[in-house]
Amino acid sequence: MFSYKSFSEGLKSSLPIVAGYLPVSFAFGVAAEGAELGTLPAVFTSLFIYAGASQFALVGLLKDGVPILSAALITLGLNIRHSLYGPALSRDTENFSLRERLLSAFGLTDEVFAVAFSRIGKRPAATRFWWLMGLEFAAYTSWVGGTLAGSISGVLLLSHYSFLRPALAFALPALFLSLLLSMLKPSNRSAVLISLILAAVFHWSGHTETGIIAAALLGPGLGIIGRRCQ
Amino acid sequence: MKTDFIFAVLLIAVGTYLIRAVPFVLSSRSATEKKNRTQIQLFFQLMGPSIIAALLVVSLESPLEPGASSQLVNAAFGFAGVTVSRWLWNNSGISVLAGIVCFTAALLV
Repeated sequence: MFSYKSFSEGLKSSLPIVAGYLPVSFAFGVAAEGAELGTLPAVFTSLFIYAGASQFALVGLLKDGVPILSAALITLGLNIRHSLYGPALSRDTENFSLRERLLSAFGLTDEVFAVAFSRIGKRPAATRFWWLMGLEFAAYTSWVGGTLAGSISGVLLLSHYSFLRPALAFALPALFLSLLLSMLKPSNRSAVLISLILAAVFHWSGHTETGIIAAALLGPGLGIIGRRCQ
Repeated sequence: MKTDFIFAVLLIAVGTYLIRAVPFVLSSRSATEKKNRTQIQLFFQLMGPSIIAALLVVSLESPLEPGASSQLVNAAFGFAGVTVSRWLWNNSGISVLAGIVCFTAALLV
């Protein structure tokens, strides 16, 4: 049954995501305009794909003249890491029905997962689904709204204030650092450190996607082994 | 909009949804069975922060363009803003805004 209280608490919990999403989706709208994609296709992309990094990749690939099917498959490959988020949340969502899982899966982006993972377990089990729906709804609407705003007005704004471009791009690292700080504990520091190193090595050698998956699997694995050895 | 573009977006959309949904649905069946398997639970507990750490590194691509050492300084100021505001107010939204403000301030100096 719908719970307005849980839903509105989810909306409130989404504020850090919205603060991170608006500038990034705005930047996506600008990038789409720069690639001459147009406002409608840019919003269409955000409405249906709703995955930040892969949307930027799609626009970049199309701009570089990559065939559209190849661009689609490469872009899809960028989202493989999302398959890890559901299982990571499963411990705290055991009471979700199949329908609730199918509904909430749509909005499991990097940032929604990060906030959900850090907070959902602290809530009473019965309130978790509608809290997650509130969180996802606000994140989704801010992403689509930001894309629309960026596409319509971004080019004009940045043509007058071009120094804002790197500042807008910094919103995402700031969001991830803030979330990571909220999740850091003495018990997970070694796993986080291993993941940071793995991701950096792979990312800066041009294997970003492999690095994320390696960090997600090897970081916790080596962290557990390290605990056993202590 | 061109038809092939719409097709590509819908293909990615369906694929992305299945990538998110299928493991989530399948994990629900096994979650109860594995309740007592603490090592797996611990693995998933560690997986979240590990993914966030990796995403943090990956997200640094735009502000830290190769050769742009000044961007590194700007990012350091931005991260300092995030860390200090996180410590002061314990709010992610404020931390993000503080980080952007510090980054922009360093950019303008």
